[in-house]
Amino acid sequence: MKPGASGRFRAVVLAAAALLAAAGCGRDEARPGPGAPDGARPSGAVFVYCAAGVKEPVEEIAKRFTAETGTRVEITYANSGQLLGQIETTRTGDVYIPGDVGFAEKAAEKKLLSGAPRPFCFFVPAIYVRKGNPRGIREVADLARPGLKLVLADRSSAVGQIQEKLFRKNAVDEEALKRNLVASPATVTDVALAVKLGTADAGIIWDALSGFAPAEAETVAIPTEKNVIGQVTACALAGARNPAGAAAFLDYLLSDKGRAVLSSKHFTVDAPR
Amino acid sequence: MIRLEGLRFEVGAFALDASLDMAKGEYFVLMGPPGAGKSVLVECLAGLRVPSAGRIEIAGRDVTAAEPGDRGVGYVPQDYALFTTRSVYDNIAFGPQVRGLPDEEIDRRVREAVRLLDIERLLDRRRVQGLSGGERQRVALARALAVRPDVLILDEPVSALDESTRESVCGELRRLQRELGLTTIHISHNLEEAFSVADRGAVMQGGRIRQVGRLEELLRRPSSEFVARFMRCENIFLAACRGPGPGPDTTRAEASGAEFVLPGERRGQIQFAIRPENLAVERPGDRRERAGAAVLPVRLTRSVDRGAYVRLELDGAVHLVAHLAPRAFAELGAADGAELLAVVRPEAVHVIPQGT
Amino acid sequence: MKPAPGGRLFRGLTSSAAVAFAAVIALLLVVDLLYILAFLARSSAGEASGFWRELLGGGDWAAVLGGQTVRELLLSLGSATVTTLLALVLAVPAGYALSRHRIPGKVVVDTFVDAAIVLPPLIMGVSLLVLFSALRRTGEALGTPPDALTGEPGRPNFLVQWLYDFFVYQRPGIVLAQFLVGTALAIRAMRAAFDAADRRVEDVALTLGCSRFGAFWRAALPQTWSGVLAGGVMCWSYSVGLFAPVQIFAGAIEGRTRVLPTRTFLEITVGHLELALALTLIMAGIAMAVLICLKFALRRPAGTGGPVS
Repeated sequence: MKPGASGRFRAVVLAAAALLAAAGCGRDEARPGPGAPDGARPSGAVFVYCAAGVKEPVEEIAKRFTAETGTRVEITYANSGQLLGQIETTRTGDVYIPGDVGFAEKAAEKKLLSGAPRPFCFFVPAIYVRKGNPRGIREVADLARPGLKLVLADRSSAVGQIQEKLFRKNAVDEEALKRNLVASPATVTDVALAVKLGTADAGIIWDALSGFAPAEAETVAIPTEKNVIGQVTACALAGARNPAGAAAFLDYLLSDKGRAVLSSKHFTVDAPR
Repeated sequence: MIRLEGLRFEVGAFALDASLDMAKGEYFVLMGPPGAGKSVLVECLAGLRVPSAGRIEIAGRDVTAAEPGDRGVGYVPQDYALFTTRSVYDNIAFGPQVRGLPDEEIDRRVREAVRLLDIERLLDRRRVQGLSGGERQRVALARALAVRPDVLILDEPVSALDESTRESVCGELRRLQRELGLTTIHISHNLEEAFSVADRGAVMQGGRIRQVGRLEELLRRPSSEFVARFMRCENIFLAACRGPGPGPDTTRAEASGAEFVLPGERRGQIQFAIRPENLAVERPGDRRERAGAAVLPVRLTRSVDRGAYVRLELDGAVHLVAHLAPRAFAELGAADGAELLAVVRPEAVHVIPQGT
Repeated sequence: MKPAPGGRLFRGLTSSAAVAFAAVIALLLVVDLLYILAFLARSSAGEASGFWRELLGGGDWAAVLGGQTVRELLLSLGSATVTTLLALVLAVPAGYALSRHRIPGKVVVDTFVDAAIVLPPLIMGVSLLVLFSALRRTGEALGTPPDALTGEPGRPNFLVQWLYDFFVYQRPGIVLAQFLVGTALAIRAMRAAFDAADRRVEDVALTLGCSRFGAFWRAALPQTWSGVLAGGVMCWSYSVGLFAPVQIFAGAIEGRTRVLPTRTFLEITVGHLELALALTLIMAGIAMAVLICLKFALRRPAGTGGPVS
């Protein structure tokens, strides 16, 4: 133990703390306004929060955008809810692409967005069954049939939110559905996976996933009048450090070039009729 | 050479409170039952524990606040605590290296230490793992000696060794100490071991030193019942004085119906001890001079041959233990159950001073 | 020596516990491999080549080495290594203190160390994010407010802003997320090692002239070598496979903070199960190889204590 040395160390720490305090003295807690440009990050990159469900087209579109404009795009992927949490706590990042418009609305309520959410693509719910449809499932109501092994995504996911509306619209007995339920995974791909691996007979997925496992499973389409269509929107964020870059990327995302990529990946670009 | 004055150290319910003096070149043995505070005392001396009060002096220097490495103390703990990741050479060289001695001096110290302990053949051992107990002990000693200490502390140095090596190692410790003139403190709870190495010693109990002195003195003239018992004196009695005894300057005293003759003029309640080897045992028919001695009729209940002596348990008005030389026991020709006489001469009786 | 029948039974039972567990883990990996092989067997040539391209990043060596998978793998291994080194720097003295010193409130300290292990990894990441958002707000409060007259925007405190930008969605954030739990594991291992080590070697070193620090460094620490190794291995293995807190605190940004486990997770969410399994097998294989090399390279020739078999 050298009391002299530790004393000196403490003095340095105290001095540093005092400097910090002095630097902020006499200021009220006024925040920088939304969209305030910030010199701390000179890269000019666009930072995007993207739902894992639209990872493939967004990744591709971002690549093309960078090639054309020279602006880098940094994308972090997770489920829509986690991304919303990250945006809310950090208040950084420029663009948010959640898997369902509901998350965009929540973000708007929390005043995290700058401007209105812009439509990007559509998620059309479909029934996913084992190859050859051995249980003979034709419509949403069939999912309540006794003895069926059913897999439905959890409410926290985008598909989970929409399928509730779907069941209500088709007047399906929710108690009977619950009895059939064998799993409620967190993401829509886990639903597809369960059907693919045969742990469940049927589940609800997006039509964009219909090519998920052509050898083991197939989709049963739901007629548009009986369906509830999900919408994916892209939003500019209020805390953006690069609002100009965000706007440019959003425009590109929603341009014909972006739509072409979406179509090539089996995503529904136009609202189904 | 070493002076401990009012040394205090507390840990939990245990409290050490000791004062002690040791002369230069003395081989001192610290004895006592487990938990008496022997290790704590030497750890304070070595600077490994910080006493709450008191003063420690080594070689005329106050070292109470000195670092362990600046006290001139060589320390060999129980089980030796060798550096298991180092070679034998590096174990011994550790001290000189830490002290920043030049390489040739380090090498000289190591060679000197291994020569002293006769372990040159171990120097090429890469690890200390495979060494025998005796070898480990020598390496630990060599490691302590390589820093040329004024004082050597050995905490139960031979407890981990088997009976047969113990004796020879003790002899060697003694030789080494004489050769180097080292002041040595040796912790032991074994009397044979203590007598085979030391000149002087102390008996500790409950953190206190109960008696200090030459070992014969601790043995023959214990200052308390505890020390007497620790020195394996099994015949300890509380007696009432009954007036002058048969011989000059003696006193008769009675303990549980048995009459003893004590040296000196005494009165009142008295506690005394008779060493088992000082008790004479005779057959009733023997015609021997018994004048001035107490003669107690006893029955032999058990005899155990311990090699160097035979231990007899005798029952009479009081229970007595006697140690006889094997030849004397053979001459006695007594089997278990035999009626005998225990003869206690006044000079065999040690009166334990009162108030201790 | 030939063991007695009872001894053989005992040995058989205890050994089979170890072997059975290892076999279950091995079985999991083998099943994954079979799944991938079955996928390759039934898929078309185009699908298969797509799989290989996604998995390895290209057709030739240059493309493989410069590819996404190799970069993410290196990021995983590298960040875990940095984390482990930092963790040991903290865990060695901390484990020593918990083992040897009487610290007031030691039970509390000990419990919080355990809490780091008990907390769900995802919550660890969320907590970090919450902490840094609080930090950011503090930085804004300490900084320059926007000027109402000139319209000049406000600036947060430089130091706080720097700290925020250093960690959040950046590579140091990966290390920080791994560090919190990895260090707790390493502290546990170091404490156990110091508990088991002979304390008297330090006493001897002190009497031989070492300072307090020297005795720790030259006598106590070498004896706990196996503990340093165990703690390091635990921390490293944990860090290599960690993704939940990394993904939320450091993000999953390609080329910057996307580690291989995060990539695996993302591949599963988009339905590329085979790819995810293959990536995991590659990572597990490399991590196991590293651990085996490490154990052989760093093992002391003679065991420290214990009966020789």
